[in-house]
Amino acid sequence: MTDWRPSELVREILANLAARPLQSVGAALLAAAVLVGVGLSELSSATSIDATAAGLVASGSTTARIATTTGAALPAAACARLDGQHGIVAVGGIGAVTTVAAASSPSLGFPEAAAVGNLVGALSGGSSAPPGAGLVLSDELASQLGVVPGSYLDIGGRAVRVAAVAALGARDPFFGRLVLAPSAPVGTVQACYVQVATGEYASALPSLLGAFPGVSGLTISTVLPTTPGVPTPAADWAGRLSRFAWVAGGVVLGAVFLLASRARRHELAVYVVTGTRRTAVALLRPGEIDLVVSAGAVVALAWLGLFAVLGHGGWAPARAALVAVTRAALLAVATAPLGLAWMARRDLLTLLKERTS
Amino acid sequence: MTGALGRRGGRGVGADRGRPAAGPAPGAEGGARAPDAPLLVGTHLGHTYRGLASPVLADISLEVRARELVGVTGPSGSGKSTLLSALGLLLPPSAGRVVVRGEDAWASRSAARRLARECFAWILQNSACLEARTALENVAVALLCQGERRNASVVQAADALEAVGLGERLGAVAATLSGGEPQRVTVARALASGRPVVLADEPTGQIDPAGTDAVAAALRSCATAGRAVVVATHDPRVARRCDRVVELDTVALGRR
Ligand SMILES: Nc1ncnc2c1ncn2[C@@H]1O[C@H](COP(=O)(O)OP(=O)(O)OP(=O)(O)O)[C@@H](O)[C@H]1O
Ligand SMILES: Nc1ncnc2c1ncn2[C@@H]1O[C@H](COP(=O)(O)OP(=O)(O)OP(=O)(O)O)[C@@H](O)[C@H]1O
Ligand SMILES: [Mg+2]
Ligand SMILES: [Mg+2]
Repeated sequence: MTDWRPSELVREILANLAARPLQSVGAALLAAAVLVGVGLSELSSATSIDATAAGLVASGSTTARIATTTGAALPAAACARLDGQHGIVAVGGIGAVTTVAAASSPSLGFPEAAAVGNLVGALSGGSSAPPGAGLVLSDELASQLGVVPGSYLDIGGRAVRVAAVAALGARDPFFGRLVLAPSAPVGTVQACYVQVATGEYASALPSLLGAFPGVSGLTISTVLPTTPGVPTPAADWAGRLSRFAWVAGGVVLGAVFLLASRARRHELAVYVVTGTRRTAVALLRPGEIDLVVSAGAVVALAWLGLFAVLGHGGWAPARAALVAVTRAALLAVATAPLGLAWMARRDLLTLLKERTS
Repeated sequence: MTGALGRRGGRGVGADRGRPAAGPAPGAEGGARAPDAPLLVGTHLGHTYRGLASPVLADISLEVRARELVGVTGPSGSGKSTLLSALGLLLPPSAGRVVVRGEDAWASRSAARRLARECFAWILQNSACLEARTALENVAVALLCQGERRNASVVQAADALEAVGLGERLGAVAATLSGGEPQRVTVARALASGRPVVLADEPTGQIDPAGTDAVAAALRSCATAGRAVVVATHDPRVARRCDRVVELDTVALGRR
């Protein structure tokens, strides 16, 4: 054999770490601190976004959307029957959506759907027109078509009365382009919308879940109001700065360890001149960095896990934090071999003459 | 005389005043090459450092066989370290050729690296050590990097340190050693490595007379054991023990 035994090379890496106990422990603590920072920034933004969402739910601005994961329709009568139950302000279902065009603007197609119960109320807080009274338009669409309540629209040869205009798009831009045709609660609906009274979401949930016996794959999600200029929790989540924290943390750690590698160039040159292959030398210093970062990551993950379990944020934000920490650690570890490229810039003779200490 | 000295230009190389080497070393090297073929040959070596107007080395030729102890002397700055670096493949010379075990060393970068790794044991002028590690660990590295196990390496390393008078300081961290002790550590490292050519640059510069004799004797016994040794030295105690001495001369290079 003309090269280090792998086990001996690993022992050499450990021996080099042990030969500088303060530096090694300090480096691991630094790695742990940076990684905890990455995790905490993720945790705090996740928690604050969760708090925003929870606040919106608690303030009663919540409309629950009940549908099925399979896309199967729900009985319209069961949806309408939720009306008046504890904590429920308004209920309505939406039927199948078709695309229609008004004769006044034939190029403009817009979706029309049957609206069961007080769908307008559930979506916008207004009240629905009775079945047969005419269509309900979103305010957006009404201004685009130039109609007001009482106007008639020519849809495919039918003259249909505009019964009401409501801010349907407040919760979901999709409804901003919708024409609703109020209809009796017969047949099925694609989804059932339930507006819940302030602070009552949790207590209303059991009746929502129990309203559709025999339907499998029932899902209940909340449709939060969108206010122009105020991001929804989902948009907040997608746009949060903390999602780059792992990049910053990884780059900072990688750079610190790279700078620290500089002081070790002389030592690596001694290994080369003593007869160690460059491939083995290339593992010595990155191996140390990997071990130090791993130790730091274990400490950081354990600390963050404990922090979350003890009730600061809960499991979902904690998971995001742990993923961020792992990514940052992997990034730092991946930059370690660059330390060697740095070393290789100078020739061996110069590095050997370089005195450390 | 076994060592051939080129004298192109006549003045780059001093007188060869050594005694003949102890004859050919059968089995000292493998392969199909003749048993007394030189291990290390430098022909017409010249070197000019970047930024310097005149060369530090000019037209030096040198052959070293197994069992030979060759000295290189000359005033400070005459290019002894430069010559050793060129012979030991740490420095590509700006002129001339280095042939190691019959192979043109600079045929490719990878060939140079392989030969440097496999053939040379270095005792560097500044006693380059792993500062944070013990004397014993420093010497053991020379064996570990050849695939030896730690236990065997440590035993041999301890023997080598014993041989240079550091038997009491095995566990001392290199950074805490006195001026001369690291130098003995690197001598022990070269002894333990078993590489066929030992290149020693001022191995006794900081060592007391008794220690100098011990190091010179150790180098001599390396040669006797079948290795080739080139030693750059100012010390007559070391030069006296050499089979031949190559004298470098600054005047010859027009540097004054
Ligand atoms: N990297 C370098 N760049 C430029 N000049 C250099 C370099 N290394 C050495 N020199 C110069 O080359 C000359 C010879 O240096 P070298 O180290 O070979 O001398 P030396 O004979 O070993 O001297 P000493 O006995 O002091 O060790 C010196 O003048 C030195 O300044
Ligand atoms: N910082 C230190 N920690 C531990 N031991 C040390 C330290 N510095 C020196 N020693 C030890 O103390 C002893 C004397 O060291 P010192 O450097 O004074 O020796 P010295 O007489 O100058 O030797 P030399 O001739 O080799 O320079 C040595 O054995 C050395 O290993
Ligand atoms: Mg020198
Ligand atoms: Mg001293």
